[in-house]
Amino acid sequence: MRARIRLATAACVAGVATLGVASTALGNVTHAQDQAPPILNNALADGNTVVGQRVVGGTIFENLFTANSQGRNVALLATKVPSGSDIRLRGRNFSVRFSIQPAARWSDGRPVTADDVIFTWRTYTNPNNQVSSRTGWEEIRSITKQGAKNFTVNFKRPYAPWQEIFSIGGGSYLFPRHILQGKDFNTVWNNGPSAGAPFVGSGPYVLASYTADEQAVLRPNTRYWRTPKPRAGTITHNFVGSTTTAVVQLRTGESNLITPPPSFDLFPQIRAIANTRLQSRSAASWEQLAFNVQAAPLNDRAVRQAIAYAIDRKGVTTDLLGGQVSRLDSALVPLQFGYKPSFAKYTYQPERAKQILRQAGWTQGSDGIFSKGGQRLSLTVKTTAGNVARQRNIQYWTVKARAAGVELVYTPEPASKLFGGTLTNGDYQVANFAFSGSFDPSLTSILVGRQIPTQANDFSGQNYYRYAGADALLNASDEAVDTTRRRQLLGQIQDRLANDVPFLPLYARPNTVAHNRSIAGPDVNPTQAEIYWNVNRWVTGRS
Amino acid sequence: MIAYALRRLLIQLPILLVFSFVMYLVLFHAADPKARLQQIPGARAEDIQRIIEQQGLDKTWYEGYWGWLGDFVQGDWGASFSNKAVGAATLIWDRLPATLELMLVSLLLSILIAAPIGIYSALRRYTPFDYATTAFSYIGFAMPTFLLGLLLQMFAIWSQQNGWAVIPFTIGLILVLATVTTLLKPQRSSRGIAITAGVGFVLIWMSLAFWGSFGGDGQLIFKTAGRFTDAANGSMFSVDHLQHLALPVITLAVVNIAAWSRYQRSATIDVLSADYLRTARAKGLPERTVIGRHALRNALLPLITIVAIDIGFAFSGAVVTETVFGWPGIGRLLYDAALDGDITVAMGVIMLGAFMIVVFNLIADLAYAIADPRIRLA
Repeated sequence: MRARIRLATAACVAGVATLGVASTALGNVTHAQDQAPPILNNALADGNTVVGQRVVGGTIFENLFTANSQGRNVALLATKVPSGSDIRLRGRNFSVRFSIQPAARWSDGRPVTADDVIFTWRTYTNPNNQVSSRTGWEEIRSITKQGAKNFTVNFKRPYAPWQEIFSIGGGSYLFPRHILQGKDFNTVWNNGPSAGAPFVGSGPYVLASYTADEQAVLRPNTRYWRTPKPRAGTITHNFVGSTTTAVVQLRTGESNLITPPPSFDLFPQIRAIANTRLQSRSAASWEQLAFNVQAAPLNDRAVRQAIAYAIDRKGVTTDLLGGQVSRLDSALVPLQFGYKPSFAKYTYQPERAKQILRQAGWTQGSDGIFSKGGQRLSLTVKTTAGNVARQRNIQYWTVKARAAGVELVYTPEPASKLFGGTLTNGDYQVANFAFSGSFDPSLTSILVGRQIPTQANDFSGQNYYRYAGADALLNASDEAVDTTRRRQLLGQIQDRLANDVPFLPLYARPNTVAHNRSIAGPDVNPTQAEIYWNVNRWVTGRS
Repeated sequence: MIAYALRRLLIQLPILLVFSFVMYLVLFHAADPKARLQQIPGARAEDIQRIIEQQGLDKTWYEGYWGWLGDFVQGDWGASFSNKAVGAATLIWDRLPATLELMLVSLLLSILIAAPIGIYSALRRYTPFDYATTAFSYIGFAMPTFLLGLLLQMFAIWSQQNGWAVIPFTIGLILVLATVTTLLKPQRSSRGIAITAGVGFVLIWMSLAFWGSFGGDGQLIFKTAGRFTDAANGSMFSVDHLQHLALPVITLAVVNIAAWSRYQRSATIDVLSADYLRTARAKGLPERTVIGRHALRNALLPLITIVAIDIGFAFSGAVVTETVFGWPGIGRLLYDAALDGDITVAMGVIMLGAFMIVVFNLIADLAYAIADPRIRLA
């Protein structure tokens, strides 16, 4: 009873009003993850995994901002998200002034300073470091200090997605200069601490033990600088090998939290587990049908528009996915800044599709399928083999599209082949896969001309579409630091995409968490900040 | 014998070389490490291109193979593609104890169960016991490993709420049913049948009478994944570890027992009709001596070969079982390496497995020769 009173008092003091759980003692979080991170340094290309992000992101490592459950950046190590006079734009000179929280310190007690920010920038841009992405970091020309805790970031050009660089939501963190300087960043933290380099972060938890492929245990950081301080016990990540086993562990109570992939067959099973809460929220990763615009017949915009009317996108979300996701009508998801549902006009209208095709010179054959110049409108839809949801969706659309005179042929391929050759070589007509972008609405990483796979870039990139003026418009939106101007440009881009239909957005994939109700506080996050973004506010008790 | 062993190993070297070539080619195309880079969130073409150059992923398959082979024959297994801080050999070496423990315990359990079942089935051919073990073998053969693993996990969940008295109850029921069907044959009445029936009835009675004492209070008896609850401080001799070990061991053992008991049954039947046993009986030796001293030694020979070869396979791990039960062994390492396009690690695991299979094949031959003096190695 006394423990219960103590806990309730602590919760009230901390301002947490909605515990919703009759806690009798502080408990631990045991998180069954379906895969193991290859390494613990999530900044490296080899370590940039969602699993790794969940282990270290927001728990051990922090950044100046984090993203909240609505995807908006909120101050973390910074005193505030810079605005007004903190942001200066003179011609093409763009700079942002930051202040670090006076109390912010690393888990070894050393203060977090501007030197750590400068070190982090240099780490990301060091040509020897095999970081996963330098997006944004290489836009920085210099960082000037104004004291230990204040600094100004000077960009090479106006750069609208600047917040993403300094946010856990963008998948990056600050690193401690006093620990990592002079160390080989490609190896030093791959397996947690190494000789002379303790695994020091500024987050509410520290790494207690790590056994590769098996388990990572985090314990509260007793020196955590922010309030509320962590009130849950340890966080144990068990890497159990499969989603099915993770769900089994939630049922047996071996784990009390899982983060299953967006597998819609799994959700009813999880909801059936007693005392369990399932949350999901659309992330900036979305399913799409990509059209090969460089080869007939999909090089004809009219054909692409007709197919957009022949695909029943809403039907899939209601009939197959049980209304757990909504149809997506843009290259952005609704929570993202600048979202405009430009694709909303493409509802399932087979007659409209037929009309467009006839106007484009196609004639309907005796089998109901259109043809032109001896070529039937029969399109292969390539996708990743073994993905049951995609298989069902395509089979559903195949039946529906036939009513519009379009034949779709489901063609599965191993993921390694689809992403390792088929798409980059343009060896497809229609492909179903997911685009994963940043939560900042910048679309240059997927749509700008230099992302088109070519010999010059080793056939990297995922862009297979180019239209006149695209680069100018996309780059202009990336440079529009004025939010009104940026929203306007993003709207133009989305309208243009909906008109040209280089791809058809289907639905956003959700980030998902299921947890025992004895844990109060998890609030699923749509960004790379993932589930532990507010872990210092979690309270665990016996269910 | 040493010369024979060396000759055998030398003969296998070209085969291992060809095998490594084929496997590298398959992995290079099936587990393209570049495909993994395409799936990094927000990675742009310039990032992917940079990483490809930094990590030397732009090599052709023959450049990659030649480089790997050159290092491998000198004892350098190369750095892991996905963890530059450790070599492939270290990763494999770290996972080897977990795999060997799992495989050897299941092998031992399988031998201890399969050999008596096979021998007894052969001695009591066409009895209910023989039919029951035959049926079990067919089910064991036909059951995919992942399905069996899942069923066992489901049983763990069920037993958590309902207890595990169902196990002795089922065994008791089988024993009683077996004796009932045996009694239908008039000449089959014996003290053994009475004992079997008695044991069966006792098990059924105990299960029903004390059902609530066999768990079912929400405590989990069998852990469904991992090796320890606390991996950093876990002890191999703890109850916790046994709870983790049970289900994967049973999964592997069921398959082994299904196969080996049939081999053992066939081998025993062959031996039972041999001339030397007829001679032994004609000399007036008691049946127990005929079977125990003369038949069993020869009947166990084929099983020695099979077990020795399977020990070799143990070094490759059990990919499916380790994945289903989150067992941190070689099999799961291979699975992850293939998914991540980590060719050096995958090749290390594959070549270790191939080499050990060669070695244990040789050991099987040598053991066979020792056990059976009629065999001469040439």
